[in-house]
Amino acid sequence: MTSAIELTWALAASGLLLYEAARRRRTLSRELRSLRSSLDAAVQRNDQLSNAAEEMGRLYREQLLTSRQRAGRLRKVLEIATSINSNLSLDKVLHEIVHAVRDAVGYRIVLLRVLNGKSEAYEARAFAGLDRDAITKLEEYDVAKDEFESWLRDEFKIGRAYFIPHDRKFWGEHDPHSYTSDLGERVEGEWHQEDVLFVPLRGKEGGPIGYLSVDDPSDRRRPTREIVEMLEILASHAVVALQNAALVERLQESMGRLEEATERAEELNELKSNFVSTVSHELRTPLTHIRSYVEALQQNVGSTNLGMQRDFLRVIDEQSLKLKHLIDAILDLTQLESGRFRMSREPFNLVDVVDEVVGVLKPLAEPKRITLTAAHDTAEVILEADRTLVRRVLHNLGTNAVTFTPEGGAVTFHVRSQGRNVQIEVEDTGIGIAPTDIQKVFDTFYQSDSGLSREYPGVGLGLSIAKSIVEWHGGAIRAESEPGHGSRFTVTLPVTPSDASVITHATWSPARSVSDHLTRLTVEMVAEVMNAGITSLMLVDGEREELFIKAARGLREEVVCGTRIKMGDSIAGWVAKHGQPLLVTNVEDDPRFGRRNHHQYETKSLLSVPMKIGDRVIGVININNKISCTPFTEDDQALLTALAERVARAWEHASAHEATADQAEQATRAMAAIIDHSRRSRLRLTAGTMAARATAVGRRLGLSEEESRILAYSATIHDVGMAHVSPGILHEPGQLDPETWMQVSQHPIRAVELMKPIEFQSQVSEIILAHHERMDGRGYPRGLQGDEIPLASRIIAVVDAYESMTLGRPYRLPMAHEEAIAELHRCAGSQFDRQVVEAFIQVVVASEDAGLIRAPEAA
Amino acid sequence: MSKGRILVVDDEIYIVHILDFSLGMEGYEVLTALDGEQALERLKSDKPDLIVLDIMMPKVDGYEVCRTIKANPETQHIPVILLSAKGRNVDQKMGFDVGADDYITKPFSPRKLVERINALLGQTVSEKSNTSSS
Repeated sequence: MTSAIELTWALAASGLLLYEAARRRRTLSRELRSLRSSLDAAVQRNDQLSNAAEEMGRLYREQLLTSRQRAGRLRKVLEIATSINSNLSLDKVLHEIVHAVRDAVGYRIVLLRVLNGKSEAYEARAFAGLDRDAITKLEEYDVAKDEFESWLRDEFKIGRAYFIPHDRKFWGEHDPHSYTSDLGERVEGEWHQEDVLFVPLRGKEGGPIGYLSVDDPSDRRRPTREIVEMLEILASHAVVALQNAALVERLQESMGRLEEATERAEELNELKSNFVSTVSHELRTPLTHIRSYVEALQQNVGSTNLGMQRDFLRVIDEQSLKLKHLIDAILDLTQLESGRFRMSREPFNLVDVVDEVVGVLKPLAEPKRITLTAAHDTAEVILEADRTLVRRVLHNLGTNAVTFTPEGGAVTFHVRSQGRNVQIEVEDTGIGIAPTDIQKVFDTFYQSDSGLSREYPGVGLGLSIAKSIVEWHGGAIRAESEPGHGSRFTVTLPVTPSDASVITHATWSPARSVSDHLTRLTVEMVAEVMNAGITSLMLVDGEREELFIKAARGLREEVVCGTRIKMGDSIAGWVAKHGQPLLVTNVEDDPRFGRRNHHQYETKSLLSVPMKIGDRVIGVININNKISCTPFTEDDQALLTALAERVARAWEHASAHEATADQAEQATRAMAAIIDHSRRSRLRLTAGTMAARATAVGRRLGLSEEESRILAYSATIHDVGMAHVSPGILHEPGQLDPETWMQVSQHPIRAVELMKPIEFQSQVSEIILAHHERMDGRGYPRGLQGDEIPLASRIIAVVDAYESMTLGRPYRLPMAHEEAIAELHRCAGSQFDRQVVEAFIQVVVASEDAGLIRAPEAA
Repeated sequence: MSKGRILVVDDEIYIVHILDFSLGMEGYEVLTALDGEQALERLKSDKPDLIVLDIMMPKVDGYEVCRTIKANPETQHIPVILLSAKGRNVDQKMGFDVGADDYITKPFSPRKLVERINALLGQTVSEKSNTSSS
């Protein structure tokens, strides 16, 4: 029974157990199910999360795209309204980019640096995750261009980014990038605080314009390919933003220039209409007198009042004279201001001109008992300028001073030499000028408005004319005054026109790599060697089939910036199209010259030669207004062609892909040496004559056109090596010490070395090297004999000797022509080639008859 | 017997002389002033029958002188002829705006000026006689 009960209990218990187990199983499976579902949910959520992450990435990209579009729109807005500051908008875009990098790529610290073209360093421009102190430090520390470029090693490259792991010990002690604290032990693949990851920002030309660097990844892992790709995408946005900003900046600049030009045009227009109304008023005044007095006389014909008639005639006479002066002055002024003035520059002694003017002003000063004096530091101040015009400046300033100085006062002229400038002061003890009016004194008709003209007669144009003349010569004029005590006018003029500056036109250039420096040197060299008042260098704009002026000397800035010529049109266009030089002796006769008004051509003669690299014409060199005021000749053409060939050579060097800075530097040094040499030879007054005489002799001896060109060029530069000989030796007589002799005997070698970077014809080097050799083999540096010496060198030797004999040296009086010829004869056969001496004498005699060669100046 | 008194104001002494001569030949008595200030000073004591006035003068210009004359009840009836080298329409308009009775541009014919003066004075004289008779 008990067992039955026990069994029942047991059964019941087991049943319970079973039930319990089943219940547990059910619960378990429920739990399992719920677990699975929550796992599914988790998986799903995980998917969702990663989807969301992807979505976020996409959003960021979109956002950046929008920001790019915004930048685009911004650019449009800026094109219209230039008032918005481009820096602000760029910084905003860059700010968005670095924050997008932080949020989307997962680096807590992001830095963007931008290359500053001027300082050649990368400046910190945008930051994320850095505090103010860190930002300040970064802003103070620029990364030099060279330093940055040293980081770009292939071994660090991942895609377009660079990862420099700390264990490569690349940074040594100093690490400009780390802002995280040392986290101690590393696990494989973990980011180290000294790791560096950055992406260069590359512009269209491929060179880096900035870089984006990141630090402190939130996952503490070294970068994966994926991360790098995201960085690259964001970096490319930064590039677009930077380029847009640069574009905007350029647009703003050109807009600014345009506005400036418009403003200036408006100002000029206003000045012009004021001028017209004042001129008409000033002309009417004497005319009114004349008309009314003539009419009164006519009405009283037959009157017996002879006194009245005489008085009236005197007024008419006086007023018509005034009218004449006024008209003359106005014509002069308009001519000066329109640039249609013909200047003929010549060297003259300024002191003489001042004395002349003082003499002319005496009759004006004496009735007022004004003391007129000329005080000079020296008896001679040589100026290369238009003598008549400079005289007019002094006359006008003097007349002005005498007019405004009361009885018993004093007017003093003072001439000073100041290196490359001369200064003329005209000081008076007159009524002076009020400070508010001091700038206006140079305005046309300034005086008539002041009401002073009634008391102090004059037409009020003298100072305007003086100012125009001075400015035409590249000088400056200024007025100072103490009202009641007197005024001082100071004129500064450059001694030679060579000090006029070269204006470069900064625009698109096909030879981008050719520096402005080289461009300026080219213009300077051509102007100096050819002794031309106006020199311009035009480049071919291949896209538009046009020529534009890249740099010029002697032209106004508006002309430099505004000139464009179609290929084939006018003279330069013809030269560019045909690749041939062109010598025009009279522009007015040349059909290629479109315009009739050639006011910038003083001599009506111009020369234009192509600049070629290989067979391709890259530009044209134009010269006109020879400073000597004579037309250009075939010899000039030969010389300029030779120069253009060397210029093209230098440019090719400078722009060649593999060109080093050193090569370009050597080319510029060669050109600078030529400039220096021709300036110095001009001071010796041998300008142009060396080349002209040498080629004339060469032609007589049957040299070909090509040989003549080589000769003209060699003759021009053969002494460039002398620049490095101690300056004293040319001025001291007597035996040379061994060291100086060494320098002298080496100067031909030195010249060849100096010219090597731009020389491509071995004949030129040979000629220069041998120009101090003698027929008898006792010359230097190699002791060549007879025919071993190139004919051109023998010619240069003779021309050179004649030149130095007739011009003299500071320690030796110049010889007369006959004496020099006798000396040449004496040395023919030993020092000189007999045949060359004969040819030279024929040339000199012939050209002296024709007046082509300047007779030696008297000592 | 003088036909009337005329004040000539001009800073060009030769203009003053020739007008003095021409108007004198015509039988007028001529008063002169060499600038605006002098002219206004003169008007305080003398009351001319007509004024010939230049515009561009130092100190006080012709426009200003004319405005002052026309604003003063004692002088506003005196006819003013502006005589100026300023020949543009705007200058003339400005002249009539300040109350000038006539405007003659330089260079001028003294004979024509005399004709205008005769006409203006004849007119005012006849106006005066009209008012007195009515």
